[in-house]
Amino acid sequence: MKNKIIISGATLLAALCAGSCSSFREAGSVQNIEPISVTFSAVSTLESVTSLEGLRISLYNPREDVTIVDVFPESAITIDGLIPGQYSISISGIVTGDDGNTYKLSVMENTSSVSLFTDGETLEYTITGIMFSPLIFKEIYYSGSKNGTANYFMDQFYELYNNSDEVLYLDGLYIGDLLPTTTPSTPTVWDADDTRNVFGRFVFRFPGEGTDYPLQPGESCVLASSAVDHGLDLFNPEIDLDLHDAEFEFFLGHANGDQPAPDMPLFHYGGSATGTLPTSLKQFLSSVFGGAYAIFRVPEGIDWTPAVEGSGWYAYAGTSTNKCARIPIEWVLDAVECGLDETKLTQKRVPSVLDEGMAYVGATYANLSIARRISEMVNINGDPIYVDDNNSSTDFLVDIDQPELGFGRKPEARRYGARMPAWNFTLQ
Amino acid sequence: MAAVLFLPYCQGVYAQAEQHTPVSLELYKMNGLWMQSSNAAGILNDRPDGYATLETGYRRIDGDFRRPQQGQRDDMFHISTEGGLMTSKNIYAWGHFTYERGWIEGANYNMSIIDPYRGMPFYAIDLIPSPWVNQNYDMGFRVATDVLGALSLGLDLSYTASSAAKQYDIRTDNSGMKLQLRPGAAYSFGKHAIGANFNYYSYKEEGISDITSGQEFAYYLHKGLGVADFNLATILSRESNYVGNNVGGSLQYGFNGNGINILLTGSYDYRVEDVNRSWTKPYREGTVRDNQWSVGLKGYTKGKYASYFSLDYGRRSMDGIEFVMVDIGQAWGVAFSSVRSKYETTTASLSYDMVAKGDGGEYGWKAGVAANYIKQDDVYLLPESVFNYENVSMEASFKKNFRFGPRSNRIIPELGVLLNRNLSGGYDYNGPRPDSEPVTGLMAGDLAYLTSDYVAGRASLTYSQTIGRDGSTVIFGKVEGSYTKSADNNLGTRTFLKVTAGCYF
Repeated sequence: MKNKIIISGATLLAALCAGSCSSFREAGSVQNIEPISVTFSAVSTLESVTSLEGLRISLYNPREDVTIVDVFPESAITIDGLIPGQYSISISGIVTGDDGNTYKLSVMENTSSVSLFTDGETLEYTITGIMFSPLIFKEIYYSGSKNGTANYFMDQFYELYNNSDEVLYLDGLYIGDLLPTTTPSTPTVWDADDTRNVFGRFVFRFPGEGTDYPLQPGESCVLASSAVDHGLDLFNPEIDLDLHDAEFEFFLGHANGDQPAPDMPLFHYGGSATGTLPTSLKQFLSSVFGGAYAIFRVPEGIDWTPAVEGSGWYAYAGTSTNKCARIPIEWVLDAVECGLDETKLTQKRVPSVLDEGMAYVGATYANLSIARRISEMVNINGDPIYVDDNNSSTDFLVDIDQPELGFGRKPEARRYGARMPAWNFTLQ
Repeated sequence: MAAVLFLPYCQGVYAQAEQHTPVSLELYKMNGLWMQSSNAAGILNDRPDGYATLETGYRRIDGDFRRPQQGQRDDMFHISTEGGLMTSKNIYAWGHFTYERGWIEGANYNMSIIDPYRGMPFYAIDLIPSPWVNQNYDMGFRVATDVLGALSLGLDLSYTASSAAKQYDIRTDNSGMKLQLRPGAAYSFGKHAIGANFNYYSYKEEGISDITSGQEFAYYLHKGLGVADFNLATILSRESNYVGNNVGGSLQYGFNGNGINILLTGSYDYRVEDVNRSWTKPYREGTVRDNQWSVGLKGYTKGKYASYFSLDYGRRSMDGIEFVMVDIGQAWGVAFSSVRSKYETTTASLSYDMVAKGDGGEYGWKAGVAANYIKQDDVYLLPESVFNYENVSMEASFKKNFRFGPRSNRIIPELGVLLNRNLSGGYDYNGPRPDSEPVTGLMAGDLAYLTSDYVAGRASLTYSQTIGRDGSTVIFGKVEGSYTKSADNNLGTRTFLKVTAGCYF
């Protein structure tokens, strides 16, 4: 009897101990945490930019709530004392190229979650960028609004602004929305060259011969889908948005009719096999869920013909014959990416070099726009200088009282008193 | 175990000493040096007797002088029984059972663990003081038998089941269990005896924290020394799962001579406990790696005026391991692990009691002094934060056994006084969110209490007598209380009151 008790007890004890061996082994091998040093090396893809001195590197560890900011002394920097973990890394800045132009640079790779666990590790990143431009998107209204229970989306508009002390000319400037039209749940597969280009759907081109459309410091150029007073009973009396004096109208034959505002010429439609607008499509309607938008300029001497095969188009995934306009990143002067809400940040489709973040208003048909934040600076006329950190997550306004609205603001053309250019048709 | 407790009532299979009184049972237990150790096999060296007790009681603790996670008021009802017997086959069996049900008012900074002081820094805390309803079942037995004359084997098995329910949002419902086995062996040769036992226990605790009011609540995931991740929620269903195992052992040497009986022990335990969030897709929140060493010397002299002494020294080194987790689809994977917090505890204690022995295995009076020392050094690594304190306390007590009446009547008053002196202490926090409540509320409040000088006075009064025609049953009633006052008037006082009634069979 005693022996049976002894054997049973020993068996039970052995079984219990065996179950704990693996956790003991794993716990026994863990060492005290030690700070690590990591070297970040940057290589520029731009021929005109060979020195990366002054480029800013920012490392953010959300788990430790630690942010480290430093400046590249040259093409590499070693940061000591890092807590091992996963970091969101941002490498960006404004540098002067060898050609004397100012470039806004950013890292090409996805650096939203980088594992830094090894002491002495060297990480290499590719830096690309665009020529720095003071011509910016000041406000974008895409969400549309409600007219009773019906959806009203004729009221979209885009406002460009001269954010500098020098006159700029809109002649020959291109503007449009980028593909995919909404944030994709799975990344869009382009070709091997997709990191160097973005792809346009609607592409409009400003008229003019070179100096016909100046934009002075502090002036705005409003581009309306339909240049009417949308608050009239005829359109949508539930909103207060008067765009009748917009500088240009994207009129493609929509039901609101051709208004007195000059029509913005459509240059290319990348959503068809011919590059031309289907007859059934009567409006430049960007996604009410939040699209991606860009203004760009084709360098002199380049004959850009996106409708010609091999020249400037690429088949959009899923529609092999569509002639999407291939736009090299270096041509882009400003780009803004929008999504429905903050959860779409993980589905960015615009390269970080053009926009590191994403703006949103949180809902469709919400009568809300995104408006760029004012900086502490003003131009020579005392007009606001707007924040342009190339990051829509921080460049556009957030309503502190209603954070769930994201960046949403009641749409307002020429907010903060932006002036109308002298060539506006209402001033003639 | 039930059979063990009721075997005293079976004829011809037990041996029992004279009926115990509260003092005689206390002295009997003081003399059981091996029974006080972790090696059940050595109990036979104590030459144990049979006895059985049953008691029930109610106690209340009240006052502001407390640690932040303790309740403003803590009530507990208990019922417990224990007993031992020696069979004719020289097998000694002892068992116990205790049931406790408690109500705690105003406990703060805890929403995911039954006992935040059991050596686990990883738990969730909220900021609203709440009542708790707790329940514990604690049962076990010890068996010892000789197998080869001088060699004896023994087994100590215990099982504890606990539950705790927090009554306010963010409310939690936790249940835990601990199963402990300590097999041992002892060998006697003349006046000497040596022993060794193995120690294993398994601990598991599960809990679900949720919000029922629909309001928004802030809560933190505490990782050590006030370092905690901040969260906001209006809807919450947070599952926590603690799983731990401990292995260890102890060695004993005993000497029972004509004038003295001593027992020297040395122990080591190694514990690993994991904390996971979610049962369906476990996320590792932390692991504790815990090493504990201790040595002790107990003994007593024989004679009319006997001296009882005890010296103990212990060291505890506990590490808090944290993980960087990555979502790999169907599960969370560990990308990196490291020790982020370290907890070092040093304790030492000595006690001395002088007992004037009388008839019937009792004493006429007992006077004692005791001193305790504790040093705690905690550090959180990268960035470094430290939390430490060092205290020494001294206590004196006196107990008198008044005998009178035809029914073995006893009145036993006791008085004691304790003085605690803080030698050093401090908290230097350099982690994130230094203005957060885990730092300014929980840790700062803990430091204030743990570094406070205080004085405590305690008193108790016990009455017992026999009942029944043969006087084989002794009933007793006891009232005890204490009053503790901090030297810092801002910290207040703490009172303790307990009423117990029971009987010995």
